[in-house]
Amino acid sequence: MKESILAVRRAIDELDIDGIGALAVKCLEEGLSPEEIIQEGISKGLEIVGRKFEEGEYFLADLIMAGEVVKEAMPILKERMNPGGRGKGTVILATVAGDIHEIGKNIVGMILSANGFEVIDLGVDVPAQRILDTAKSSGARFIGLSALLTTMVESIREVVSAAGAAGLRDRVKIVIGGACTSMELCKEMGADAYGETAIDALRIFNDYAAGA
Amino acid sequence: MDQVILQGIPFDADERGLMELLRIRPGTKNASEFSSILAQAKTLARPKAAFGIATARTVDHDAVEIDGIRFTSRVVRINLEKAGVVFPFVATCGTELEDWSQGMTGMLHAFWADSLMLMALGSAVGVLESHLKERLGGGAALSTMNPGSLEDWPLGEQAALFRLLGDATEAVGARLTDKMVIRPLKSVSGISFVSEEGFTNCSLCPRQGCDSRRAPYDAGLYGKRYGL
Repeated sequence: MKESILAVRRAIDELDIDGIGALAVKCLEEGLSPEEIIQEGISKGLEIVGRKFEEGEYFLADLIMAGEVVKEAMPILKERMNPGGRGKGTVILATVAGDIHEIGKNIVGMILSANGFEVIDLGVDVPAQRILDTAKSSGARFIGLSALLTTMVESIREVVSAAGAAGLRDRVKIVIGGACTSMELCKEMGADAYGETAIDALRIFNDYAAGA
Repeated sequence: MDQVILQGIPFDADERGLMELLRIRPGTKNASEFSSILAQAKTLARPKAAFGIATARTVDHDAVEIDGIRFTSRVVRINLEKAGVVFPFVATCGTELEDWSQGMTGMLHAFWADSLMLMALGSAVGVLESHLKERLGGGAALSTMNPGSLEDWPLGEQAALFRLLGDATEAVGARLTDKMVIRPLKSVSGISFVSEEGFTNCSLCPRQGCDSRRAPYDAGLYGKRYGL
């Protein structure tokens, strides 16, 4: 592994927002492809941050700052990417109707984007119909639903049921997350997966993308 | 029910401490942006709180009434029946800061604004707790329950609490949506009460990996103390 790509990983782990741009340029100048830098530098750097977050060494502020560090590098890399390159697929993210909490959803979006997914973020308080309409029009194969409060469980259920009624369940995977959700709830309402953390969500969507 | 509205609560924020907490490096572009956002927040923030002073009456095994409003929960009933005086309350970061936060663009600035609103709520809760302790003579052990923190006292009970607090919620700018979300989002409601044995919601909550945990989960406490 080239030292320059290891430096990209370290910059993300150390939240070095001012240094990452120059490191990305250096990697490109050394002949590394943008895809390789994203896969071996950016994604691996985020993996380290994610692991530290799960182990309690890093906090939410670290995770968000790591996302900002990645955002500094991505335009430099995207400019040089092959326009015909194939990503991992499209994920629609939404905080369900009635709920306006968004930080968790935004972190998931940031991590998925940095790992090769196209993210359509519908925002907060999103009605089920809008989520399904977007799934139909975009052809997205993945939906991520977020909710914090127990009173929003029915809003999640509504999306899952409506997706079934609309005949989308064969082609769309629905992943739920947020404080009011659980594996039990996921099974009970017939969603496809439950992610406790943003890193979980990445693993789940990566598995789906790899299997598709 | 007698009510007290607490306004003019100062929002003191230590810039260096906050920057460390939010992982902002001094001397960077982020640091100067944060300074500017913090200055705006300090100018605008109007944290507020309101509380009532009442007594709770047991109406059956799983319910109490406060000022004619029924609260259904075994844990609430047992905690409050011994308490004598109880203090239903709401505390908030204030609509001023929430309105301001809506204008933030980008995840980082939105996160900073969210963190500052949480700090403002912390200021409101701190002043509220000081008032209650002062009212009780300083030595009393104060505990608090919040609707939605326990399965036994679900979030839907927030509606009863807002009915009980009545005009006080409007006075501090807090309102409840039909999904039981308090706006401003950085607000908290609950009932404080004197408890010599002490009560923390966390002792009855099994949720793992919670950043807000203040006491270990006691799996036997539901049975031992509440017969559930």
